[in-house]
Amino acid sequence: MPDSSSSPHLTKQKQILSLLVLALVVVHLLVVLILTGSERINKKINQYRPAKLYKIFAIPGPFFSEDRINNTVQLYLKTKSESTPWTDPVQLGSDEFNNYHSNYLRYDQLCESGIARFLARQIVYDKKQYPDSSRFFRELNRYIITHQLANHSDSLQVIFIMKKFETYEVDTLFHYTFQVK
Amino acid sequence: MKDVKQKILNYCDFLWISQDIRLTSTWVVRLTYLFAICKILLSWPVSLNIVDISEFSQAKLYSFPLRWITERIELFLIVFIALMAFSIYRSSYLIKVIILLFGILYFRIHISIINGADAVVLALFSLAILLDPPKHYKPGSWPVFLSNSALLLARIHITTLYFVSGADKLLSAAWRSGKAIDYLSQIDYLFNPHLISIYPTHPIIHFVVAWVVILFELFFSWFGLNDFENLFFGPV
Repeated sequence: MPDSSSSPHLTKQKQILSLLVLALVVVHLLVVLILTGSERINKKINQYRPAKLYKIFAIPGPFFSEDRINNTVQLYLKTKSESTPWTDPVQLGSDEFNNYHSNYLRYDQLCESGIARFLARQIVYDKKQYPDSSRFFRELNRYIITHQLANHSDSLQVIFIMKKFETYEVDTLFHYTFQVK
Repeated sequence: MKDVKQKILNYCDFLWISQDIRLTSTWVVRLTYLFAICKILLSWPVSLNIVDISEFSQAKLYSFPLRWITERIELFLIVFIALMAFSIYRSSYLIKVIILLFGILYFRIHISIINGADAVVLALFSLAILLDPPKHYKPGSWPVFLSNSALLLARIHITTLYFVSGADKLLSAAWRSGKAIDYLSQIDYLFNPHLISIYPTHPIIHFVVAWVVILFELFFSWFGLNDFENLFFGPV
């Protein structure tokens, strides 16, 4: 830290501006402390879009929070054709995840494995809409048909599972069976 | 009290006059753009897939540019990369503002694969506008003040990120007991498959790993805040 006597004197206006920047930093740090300490305030803030955006971009995290680890939504897919019975359930995105770990330059595979999980989470937590009228459900449908489905399949079963590690609970939230158009 | 006041005044002076951290701000900007370029290139195939499945009708404000871009996603990505490559070579306020706008659109289109690192990159895109002024300005000038202030905010941003994660884990019973690591090791889309075979599944190992993670994150943020002078105003 330089000696103040070695620096030129600032005008009052410049000094006020720098104090504002430092005050901004202090306020930001206080908000971080409050949001980290209070889950109730954290949840309330998510109801307001500007506050939510501030949280996403100015205070990213926490990463790997207990709630996120403990409650995981998993998506399984079964397919069937006229000549074959239903296949065993396959977890969507798992092949891509393993592909990435066989070749770390295939970052696209890691992203690909995240798409189905993101859409599944949106469908499960989007309680305002019925899943089949949800935008995310339509996107998931397109994702499965364009990227996951073997050509000969004509029927699909999508199974949403919630795993709760704390209680060792595995619950099928809902499943859909439909014909591929 | 007098000491505190003097210290604050020193910080104020430093925000206006310091030229020492100019090199740091240049490299923060360059590395941010380089990281973003690599990420876009590596996730290129998935960008093409995303536009096939996504609906953007609900995003009213963005609906027009998003629809226009998704029909020309390859062109959008090429221009985005070219702008960032140019900014690595030469700094320009206007181009950095355009990069931020492109970044917001990219973020919106790729919302299904966006993670915490991308949110940090977008925050750095906005600070990058003020960081690394295009010309060499005299101490006491506005560009120097804005650049130094933006660098201070960037460093605070990275530090708080670790603090929030570390403190959240410290407040969590599952993390304190090590159970969180046990849960994580059972989530097949989060745990490295190569590690599953060699990772010893034992409560004591879970406990130790969990505390290494907690202490690392808290120590990083504690260092950042406690050693404020060196981290934020120290030599390059």
